[in-house]
Amino acid sequence: MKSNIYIQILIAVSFAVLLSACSSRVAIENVDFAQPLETVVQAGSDGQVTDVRTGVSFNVLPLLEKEGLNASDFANTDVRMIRNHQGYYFVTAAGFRNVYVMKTRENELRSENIIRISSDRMENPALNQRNPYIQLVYGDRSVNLSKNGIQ
Amino acid sequence: MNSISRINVLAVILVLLAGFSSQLIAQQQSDYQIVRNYQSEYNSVINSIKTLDSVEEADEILARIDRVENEFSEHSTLINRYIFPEDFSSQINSLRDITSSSRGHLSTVAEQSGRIDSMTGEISDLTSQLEQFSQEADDLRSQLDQMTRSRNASAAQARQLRSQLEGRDEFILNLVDSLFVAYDNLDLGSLSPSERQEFALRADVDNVIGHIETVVESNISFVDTHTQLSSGDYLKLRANLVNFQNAWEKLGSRLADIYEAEGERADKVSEVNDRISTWSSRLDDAVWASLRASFANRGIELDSFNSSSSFYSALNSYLDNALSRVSESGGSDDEKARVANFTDVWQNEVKVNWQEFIIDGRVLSYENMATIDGKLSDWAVSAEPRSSTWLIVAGILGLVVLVLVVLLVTKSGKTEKK
Repeated sequence: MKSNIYIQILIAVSFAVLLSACSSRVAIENVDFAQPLETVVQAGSDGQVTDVRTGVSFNVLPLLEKEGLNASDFANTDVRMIRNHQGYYFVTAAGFRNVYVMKTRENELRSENIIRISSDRMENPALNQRNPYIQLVYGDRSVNLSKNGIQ
Repeated sequence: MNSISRINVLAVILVLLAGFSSQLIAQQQSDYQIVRNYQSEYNSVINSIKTLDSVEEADEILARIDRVENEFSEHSTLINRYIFPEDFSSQINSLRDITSSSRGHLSTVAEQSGRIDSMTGEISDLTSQLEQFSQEADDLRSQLDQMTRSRNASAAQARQLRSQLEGRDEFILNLVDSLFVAYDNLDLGSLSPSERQEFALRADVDNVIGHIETVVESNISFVDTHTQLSSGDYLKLRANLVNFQNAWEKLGSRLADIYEAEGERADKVSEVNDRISTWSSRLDDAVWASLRASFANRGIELDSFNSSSSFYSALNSYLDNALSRVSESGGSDDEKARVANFTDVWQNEVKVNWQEFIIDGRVLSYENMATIDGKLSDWAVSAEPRSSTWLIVAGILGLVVLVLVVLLVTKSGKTEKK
């Protein structure tokens, strides 16, 4: 009975090894996703933003809800986003108190971190690529950000 | 003391910190905004180049390009990432090249425009001079018509008229030269259709064609009203006409090029051509009639002629007939007198007073005149009557020969009898 179990385990392990050897998946490591310039796109009245250069399109309503902003008031406001070297999107806009670090999933941007910048709403934020950080400029101040927060 | 030095140190530190923080503030810019600002400047310069219309504007744009380059060169790496596959240096150089090229072109156009301005001024001066000449000519004509004074007064008037003619000659040649030189220097090939249009409009405003028409009409009127000029005067006018035609042939084609694809304006050029033909035709009628009269007044009846070639034929025919007559009838004192009369007209009137205008006016060529000279020499030699002394000598010689023959015959008869 015990030997049968060993045989079954051996077969399962062999099958797993065989499967992994035959797999067509490829992984590329050390990819630098750093986007040199931030993307600035205007939000529509429905909260939709589209970057015509890259084709990235999403709706900022969940962020507005988090910021306590109204979509119609937010219409035509510039939404700024930039991707860091790890591939995380940093998203913010005028009137936001936070910078949202978003991770890409299948048809999804999910927050990896929400970085509180100020208790006041930012007036003219801008994001610069300062690899390995993302520089946030707002007013006359600037801070370096990573996916973990302010550095 | 110590407290004062501490305050000084703190002040220095504060100043340094203030400088450092202001530098930090200066550096805290949005990369995106820098690129946007650069693109905005770039597009603005491009738009300025599109509407560039003077050398001064081109110089301003070149200075602006220098400022843009100085302002953004430190961000060139950032800008290059955004404007890839172009790059900052090549864009700045392109702006500079396009502006410099436009500047060169505008400079040429401005130079040509300057030439036209100068030409227009000259035409205006000459036109007012023409009006003055026309007025004087009318006055003179009126005086000549009413003249009932002595022959001396008439001769004085005639001299005045001739002097006026010389003034007109100089005026017409100046005008034609000015127009031709100015338009010949225009490099029409380098002009765009819109620039040609601009020159056409300017030529209209300056009434270039109008001035030329005035000159032509004035000359037609002059020929029509001054019917008592000498052959020399008419030949001089014809020489001027030929010069004018030569210049107009080139100038007219230049104007036609400027006016190309503009039917109405192009028609004006052909109208001037028609009026010049009228001028030529009227002047020719006067020239041929005057020449015919000049020869007839000296008792030389030439066959009728109404062109340069038929005038040459008439002269040849006259001389050929004379040579034929002399060859049949021999020389005589009458023939010598005819030769002397024709020679006087030909050598002292035609060659001394008219030759320059006959050649310039394409009435006769140098070859034609040489042919007439040759035939005139032949006629002069053949026209000499044969000397009577020669006949006496021939008679004596004949008599001597006859005596000798008689003596020889008599002597031979005596010898046979012996």
